[in-house]
Amino acid sequence: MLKAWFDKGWFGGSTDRYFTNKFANVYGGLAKGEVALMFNGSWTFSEIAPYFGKEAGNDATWDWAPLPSMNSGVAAGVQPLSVGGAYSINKDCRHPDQAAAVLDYFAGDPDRQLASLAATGVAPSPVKVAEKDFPADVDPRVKRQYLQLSAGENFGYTTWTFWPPKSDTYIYEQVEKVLTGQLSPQDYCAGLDKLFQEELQAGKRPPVPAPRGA
Amino acid sequence: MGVLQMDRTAAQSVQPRRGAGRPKLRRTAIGFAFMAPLLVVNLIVIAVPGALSVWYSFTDWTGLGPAHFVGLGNYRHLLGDPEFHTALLHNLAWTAYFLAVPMAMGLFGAFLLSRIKRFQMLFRVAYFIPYVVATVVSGSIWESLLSPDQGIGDGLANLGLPWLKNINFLGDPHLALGTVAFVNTWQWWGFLVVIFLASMQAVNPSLYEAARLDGANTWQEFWHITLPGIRPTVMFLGLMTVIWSFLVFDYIYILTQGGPAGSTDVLGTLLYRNAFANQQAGYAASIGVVMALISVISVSGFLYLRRRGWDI
Repeated sequence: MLKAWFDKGWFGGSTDRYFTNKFANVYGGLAKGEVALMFNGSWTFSEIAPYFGKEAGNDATWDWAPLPSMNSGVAAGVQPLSVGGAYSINKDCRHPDQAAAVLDYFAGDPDRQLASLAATGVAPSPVKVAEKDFPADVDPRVKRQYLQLSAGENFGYTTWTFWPPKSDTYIYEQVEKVLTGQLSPQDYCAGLDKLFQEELQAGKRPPVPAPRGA
Repeated sequence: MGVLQMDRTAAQSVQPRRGAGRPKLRRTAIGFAFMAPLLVVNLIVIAVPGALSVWYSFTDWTGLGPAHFVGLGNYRHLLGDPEFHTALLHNLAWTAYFLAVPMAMGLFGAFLLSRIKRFQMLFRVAYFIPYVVATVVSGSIWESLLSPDQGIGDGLANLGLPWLKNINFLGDPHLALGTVAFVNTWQWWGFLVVIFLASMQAVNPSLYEAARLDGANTWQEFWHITLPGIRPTVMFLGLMTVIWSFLVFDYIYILTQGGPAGSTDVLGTLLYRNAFANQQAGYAASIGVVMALISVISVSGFLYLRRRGWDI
């Protein structure tokens, strides 16, 4: 299905342009009304503002919506979670308590996290927040996203959340061969399954937390 | 007087003055002292990482944590890895292209420049400027120039070359590798012109004079005088082209990252991806060792031919 959508030019205008489009062009295209929508993560909040409004020479505005469901058993409004980085303490650290205090400083104060969100658009941690926690200068569209995330129960995952490294690279690199007709979708899936089983056996899959209610 | 001198020399050679070896030893020590900083730097940035790479190529190291010895496992994997085969083929094509096209352009440009007196320096500077521009800068500029929407293709299409309309040079798997090679040529050929020109200026002018008296035309002068006269330079740059072609990484990484669909993947990008995305640093090290071996074989072949008496 995805390949058919690409063949119709629904992603980036055409398959070859999908390979060379830059975020700046897509944001600009959104503001001009040439691009209908784009799939992107919450990091967009820290990048998209300069392309809209008076300073960009237009009166366009942007907003966001959660992804539709691709499966009849899943309700619409899926919010995929990704892991963009992790804070950890080296087991050989000579001052683990002090290192933990630094991490607590970063992650333990929601006010500090949300002030950072208002100033830079960088995702706060932890993400469980309430309306009263947000500073007044945070963009209401950004605030709505984190409030919905805190209230939501319909989560999905990106390729780089729980896939082991080789499988993750395979997903986004080999799919280009599917899109250009060098690899069939069936062979692509079979190759991914083989690689994932190898990595699973080798214990390279990141730990997956149990779903709520499991 | 002459006899006396001979006697003194003979006496000195038979009975060396006490401590006569010290100046030589001192000179050697001073020489090593001057070389020491470079030797230390080479040891730290080349010898030690090089030796470690060889070691890691026999392990399953992920880039973090302990490395376990796996023998020739990584090399066996290389033999059966289609991505490695594709990347190697691209490197071979890249090498053939850079041995042919930019070398020919450099020779031709230098020969034409050698025959003009006015504005020669202007042309030399103009040709050389791309070489001193940072790769990431020129790569980004070319990325914009090659854009299908507002690049030179679109501009030329509007000027009466409609077949250039909507050509995505970097997004089409059939065009991407050639396009990156073209961009790299734009930066590289001016350097070749300057080096070849410097070498051509050392060719004895009386040979050209004699050839003209014998009725030789421009092509015959180039083929029979210029080219043999600069053969060592041509061979050396040919050797370096082979080595650099197998190390190519920067323009490809900036413009295509090896895509689309692996159509511009070379050993350098494959190594980078395995080391930093796939967490297969041991496997990446084995690719690096293969790249180094190709350079060693090229240099060895060059030295062998020189030892056999080839004037290169």
